[in-house]
Amino acid sequence: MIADILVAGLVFGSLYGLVAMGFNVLHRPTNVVNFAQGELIMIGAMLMAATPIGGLPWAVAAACVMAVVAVVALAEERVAVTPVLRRSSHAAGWVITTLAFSLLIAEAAGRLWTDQPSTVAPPWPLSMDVEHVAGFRFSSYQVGVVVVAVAAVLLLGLLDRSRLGTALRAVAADRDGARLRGIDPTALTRRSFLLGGALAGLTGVLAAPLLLASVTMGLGLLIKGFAALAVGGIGDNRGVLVAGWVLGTVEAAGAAYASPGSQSVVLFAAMLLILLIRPNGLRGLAVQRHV
Amino acid sequence: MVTYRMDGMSRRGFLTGAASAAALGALGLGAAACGSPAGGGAKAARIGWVEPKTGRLAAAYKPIYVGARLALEDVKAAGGMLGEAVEVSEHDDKGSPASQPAVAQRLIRDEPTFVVGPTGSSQVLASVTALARAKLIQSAWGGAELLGDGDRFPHHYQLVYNTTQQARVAARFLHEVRGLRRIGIIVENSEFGTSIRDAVVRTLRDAYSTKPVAVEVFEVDASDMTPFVRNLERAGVDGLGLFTGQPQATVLILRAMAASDFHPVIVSHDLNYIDALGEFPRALLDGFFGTTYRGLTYTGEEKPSDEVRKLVERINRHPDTAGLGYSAVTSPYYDYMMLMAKVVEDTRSLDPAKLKAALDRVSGHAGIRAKVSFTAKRHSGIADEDITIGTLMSAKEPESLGGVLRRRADGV
Repeated sequence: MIADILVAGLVFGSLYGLVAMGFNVLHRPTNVVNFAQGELIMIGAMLMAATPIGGLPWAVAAACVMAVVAVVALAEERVAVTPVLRRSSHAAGWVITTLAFSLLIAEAAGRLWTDQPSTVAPPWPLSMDVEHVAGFRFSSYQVGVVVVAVAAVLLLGLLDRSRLGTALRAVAADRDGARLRGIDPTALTRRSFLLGGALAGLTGVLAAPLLLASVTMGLGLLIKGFAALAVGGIGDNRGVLVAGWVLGTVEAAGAAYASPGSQSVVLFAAMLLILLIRPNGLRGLAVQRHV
Repeated sequence: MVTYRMDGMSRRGFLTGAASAAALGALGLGAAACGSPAGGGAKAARIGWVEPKTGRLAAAYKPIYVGARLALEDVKAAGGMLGEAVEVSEHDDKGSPASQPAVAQRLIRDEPTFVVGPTGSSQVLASVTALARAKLIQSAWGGAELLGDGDRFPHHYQLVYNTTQQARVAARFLHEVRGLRRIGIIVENSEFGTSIRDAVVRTLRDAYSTKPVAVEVFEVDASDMTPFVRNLERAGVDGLGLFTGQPQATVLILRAMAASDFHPVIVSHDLNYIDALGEFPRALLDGFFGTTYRGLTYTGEEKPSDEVRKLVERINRHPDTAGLGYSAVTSPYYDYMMLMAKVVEDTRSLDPAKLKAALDRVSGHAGIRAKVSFTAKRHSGIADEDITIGTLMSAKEPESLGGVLRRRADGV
């Protein structure tokens, strides 16, 4: 039983961690938390299941999906984020505008697709067939998802240390100050939305074989990804992945041991408890601001 | 809101009627001829129509209203209601309970003869509550037992089987027909899930002096069903009531069962066969059954009526059905619309009070899916004997007419 809980915690926690990493990518240059992230992921999963993209070889299909979702995210940046930030970099109107964009996506999806879920096959040579190893039961695809999540953390870490990452940190610290130093925050914001959209598309692609592609999948992932972000610490990609694993494990344990119907209570109680003890996130990285 | 008219009269009919009215007028009887059967001036029947046109459920719920649209065509072909065109006022509820009070306000302003919809247990509860004082006759698709309580909601008429009826049929199938003694329940954490879980527990206690060996309740956005399925497996469940309005949850539960090689006999309330089920072992799907209407089932000897088959074929041809013929044909709205047309013609009135009085006396009305009867207190119109158990895999048989009708389970 414990083995099952750990496997579920790692696999689904990796998805939650990826959602939270998507939040981080967009938050860095804008201080915006993108409430449309769940629906961007849903688009990724649905496109992976739909023709003609779903009929392409997996890698090509995944690349197409990431590109399409990146473009949708860029459109969101153009209509829902930049106009708000242009008025004031500290304005909080993005809460409503990103939510509104999320509703627009849900609306379009509701017209295009029914609520019937679609299966998406994992890429060769991975499969959903369950293997038994040392008391653990898992599929090769589940291992693949965990590996991709870890790889995403490493790649985002490399990006963070690059010239682009330095510019992003400067914009995050002081958008107007960065502009005075010759950095174009608007261009960086656009790039971040493209990258964040691609990451959301990838998360949808990865989630589709596990959760099935469905128009209803976005909201649940958004909430759990947001929980991972809160517990892991905004801006800390390693932290959010670990937080995703912790929350995934607590969720699975809640389903196995808690009284029927109280899994959400267990999950969010655990989240509150962690935040009470570690208010700056699991790894406790305080936000630093260099002036 | 969209309002349109379904012309109920042919050109010849109109001219004949006009000539007759003119003649009667000339005889000094014009007032009598022009007075509507309701006695309040010429007035066409107006239908209040609540359907999600926007939002996440818009495409998913479209098939559910196909039957009502076909009924409108049939009413039109029969000359409308009381010889007049029928007006339809469509209202978008976005598939949301929160929209119902605003939709109710618009319905009250429209003063429809009767209301079709909304769909979904939570939406229906919100709607009937908001419309309770308006005395508008209404039928919506919600399975909660209280929706058929004529004392509580005197103007709502339930033309679907309720959760208690469903629970009785499911428990009888598992316990009596299949002889299973280790019955488990898995439901979603929602109004519907809670209602049917309680009904199954109550039925097992009252009818068989037993209780479920495991009860699992999952959140509708649960990512992984493995822990719930493992709990059922550990409890030794051999017969399972699986009730959720989320097709995704059903597929994820079956996937967790397939991964564990755990194949209990399952009774659900949804027999929609979707492509995603194709990945599961046949042994698992062969043990999957669901509650349905007797009129929509067949056996080796007994076939559905020609009327049913014709309607199914029409539903399958309709562009809004989108392959979800099972949802479309089990929807209450075709039977409701045709019943209302009959009641209007029988009473020769559009007065809601007269229509309600007539509805409360409906007995054994032959609907497409089942016989319908009401009393002033009992507004749950489907008789227990018209509810049965069908097999999921019969959706693949030619007799199912594209997965809409179902083979009745052996022994039922």
